Amino acid sequence: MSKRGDTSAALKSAPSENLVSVLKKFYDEYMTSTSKRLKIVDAYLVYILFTGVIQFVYCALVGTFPFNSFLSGFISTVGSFVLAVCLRLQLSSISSDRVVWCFHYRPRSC
Amino acid sequence: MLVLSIAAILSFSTRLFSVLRFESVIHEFDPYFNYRTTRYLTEEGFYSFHNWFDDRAWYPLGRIIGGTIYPGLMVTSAVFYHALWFFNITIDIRNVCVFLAPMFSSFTTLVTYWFTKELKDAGAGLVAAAMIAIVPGYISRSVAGSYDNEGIAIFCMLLTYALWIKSVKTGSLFWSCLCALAYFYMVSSWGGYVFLINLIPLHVLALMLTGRFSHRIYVAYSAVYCIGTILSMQISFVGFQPVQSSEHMAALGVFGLCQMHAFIDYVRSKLSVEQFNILFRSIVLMGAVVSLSVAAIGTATGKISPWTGRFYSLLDPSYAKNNIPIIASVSEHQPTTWSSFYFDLQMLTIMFPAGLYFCFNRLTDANIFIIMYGVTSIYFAGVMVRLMLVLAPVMCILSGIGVSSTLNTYMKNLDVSRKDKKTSKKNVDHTYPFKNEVATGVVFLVTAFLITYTFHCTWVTSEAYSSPSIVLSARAGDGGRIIFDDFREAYYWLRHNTPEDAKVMSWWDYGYQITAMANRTILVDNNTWNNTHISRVGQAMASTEDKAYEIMRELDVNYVLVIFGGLTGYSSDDINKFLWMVRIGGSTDRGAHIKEADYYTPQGEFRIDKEGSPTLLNCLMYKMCYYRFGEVYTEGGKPTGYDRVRNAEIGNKNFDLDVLEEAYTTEHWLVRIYKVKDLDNRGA
Repeated sequence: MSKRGDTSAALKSAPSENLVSVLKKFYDEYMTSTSKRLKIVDAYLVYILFTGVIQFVYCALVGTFPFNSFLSGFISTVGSFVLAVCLRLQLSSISSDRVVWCFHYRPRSC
Repeated sequence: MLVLSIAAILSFSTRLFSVLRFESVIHEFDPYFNYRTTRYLTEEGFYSFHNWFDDRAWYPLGRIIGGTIYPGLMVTSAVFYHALWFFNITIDIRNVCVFLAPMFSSFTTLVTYWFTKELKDAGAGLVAAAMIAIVPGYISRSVAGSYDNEGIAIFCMLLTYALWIKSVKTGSLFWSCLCALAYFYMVSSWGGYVFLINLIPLHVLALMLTGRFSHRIYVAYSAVYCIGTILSMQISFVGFQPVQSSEHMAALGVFGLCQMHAFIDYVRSKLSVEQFNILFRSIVLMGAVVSLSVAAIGTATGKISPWTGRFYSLLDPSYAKNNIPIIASVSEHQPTTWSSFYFDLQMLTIMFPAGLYFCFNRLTDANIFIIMYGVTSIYFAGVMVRLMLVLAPVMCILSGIGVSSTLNTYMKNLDVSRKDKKTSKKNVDHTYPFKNEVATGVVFLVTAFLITYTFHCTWVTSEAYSSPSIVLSARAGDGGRIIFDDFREAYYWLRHNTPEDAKVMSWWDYGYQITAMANRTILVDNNTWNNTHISRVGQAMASTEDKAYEIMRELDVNYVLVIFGGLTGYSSDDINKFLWMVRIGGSTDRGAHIKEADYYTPQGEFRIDKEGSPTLLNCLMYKMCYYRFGEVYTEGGKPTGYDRVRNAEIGNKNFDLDVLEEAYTTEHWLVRIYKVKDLDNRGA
């Protein structure tokens, strides 16, 4: 509890610095701990996200005609993103020895 | 396996009462439309069916059939028809349609078994399958001849739910994709798919709130949502609704929440607690601001359409009664009474809470789903009688779980034979004495319940739910059976004795039957999509002959058809529906002169005898129903013109018709057809 108090005191003094340092730490941790295979999948995910955002911004700027094409393009990016995440889940559970990464995984079969 | 196949065969055979008593004929009103479209599909092919614009209904507006129906039922029948004909088993399309619903009820029995097996175990599955084979709530919409969307929709719904539970339990993409395909089948078959697309996200939300979210749920829901949404938009009737209407927004919201939850959990696994908290707080703040503003802008600019009337009335039951008389007038949309619950479900109403208790006892991801399904179905079944159908399967499943768990608990205590006494001593609990006797008593009690359930269901099916509505029967004084086949008599008279392009005006109930059997153009039918047009017909029926003649000339009407039950005592005739015609007729601008109060006596009663209001006694509907009725003796000891439904002698007896002439009256005066006279040759 006291540790938290210290951190919140540190927070009050320099909040933005702390946020940036957290992000930096996250980035470092990510770079070191994830395997090459997962990094390739992550790069693919970022690319798909980028494509989806571009489509959405274009639609917002230019208008929704024809709605069919916008929907099909956008949903295909969303779908590919989701399927790639499922692939990543499978890969990471194979590569790691223990189910550390699987969040809130309930080991008993339901 | 034997028990299951017996249950499947039983579910098929118990729906055949009306075929055995009358003939293999399509029942009621809506099934006739489905039958006509299926016939069109088998004759013309899928492309012309999909692009069909029907100019024989809703004259002069027409109806885009391809874009306003759920094609699942028709396509299923057409597939069966073509498959049978491929093997040279030449069954007529009418018989395929009549027997489709019972066949799908057998499939439903099998799917229920599998579903309950996933939830609990095979024993509960068998009990649930046996129960759903005969439950009256489901039989009412799936007898042989009731060729309606619900016949296959319940099968699709249970299949989708079973595959959803399987994908939640395994977390594999394979089952999730199968679930999405089943969801597509469900969307193609019934408008009630909105229930599914809201229940599944609610389930995911409940799992998140109880801390049971895991990567299995993530995989299952994301795959089902993405693939399911794309597939559901392939049905023209659904169109772009999944991304635009409020009814689907919950699914989208939960999808976004899923992604965020998964991402947050991933980040949490990388960072320490304090750092994570900082990041979390800033993200949550940003996310909440963004999503709230997007939702506000979307609703304000109208991009996200509000709830439609039909579904809004489920949340606020008084909405339809006050604002939309058409929805309120359908008897299936009324709130359910207690007696309906018992009539349709009998013992299940008692075993349902027991099943809920056993589910709460052993909370798993799948059990949470069935609990939510049960509770929401109970609410919706209480709001609208028609939705009793959605409640029946979950009642069977939960009761199956309840019965099977009860029997399991007590059968452990049964003392079977002396030899096993040593081993059974371990399982027996020593909490109360006379375990053997109590256990035997409970087993007998449950068996007695199940037997009475069977008798009740069979009786209900035979008495209440097996009438085809288009053919009536009654007992004559000497005990013989009289068949009233007046409806088909009148429709076939129309078919053979009127010109091809004749237009028939009747109340919207009979529209589908007229187009399917008489093959003539009609003004309004059961689709009720255009309230103004129906209101115009209502104005014509409720006005005097001259005013009505103006409306009929405007709409090019050649023949008028009314249903009259006064001679036979048939109580669902047009005079009993007349007040609804008045209400709907007076609900639009051009009908403002029609006020409901004018048709009542000064004391506020609706009477057709001498005391009745003069507006009522001179309106078109009255004259058409009672023309020449004043000369007929209907019951011994009563004067002529005695109406056997309203139990009164009619007030306005000997009158002539100015603008109509009688074309045909059926044998028992049930259907009366009038021809609209042309204008005079010389101006008056």
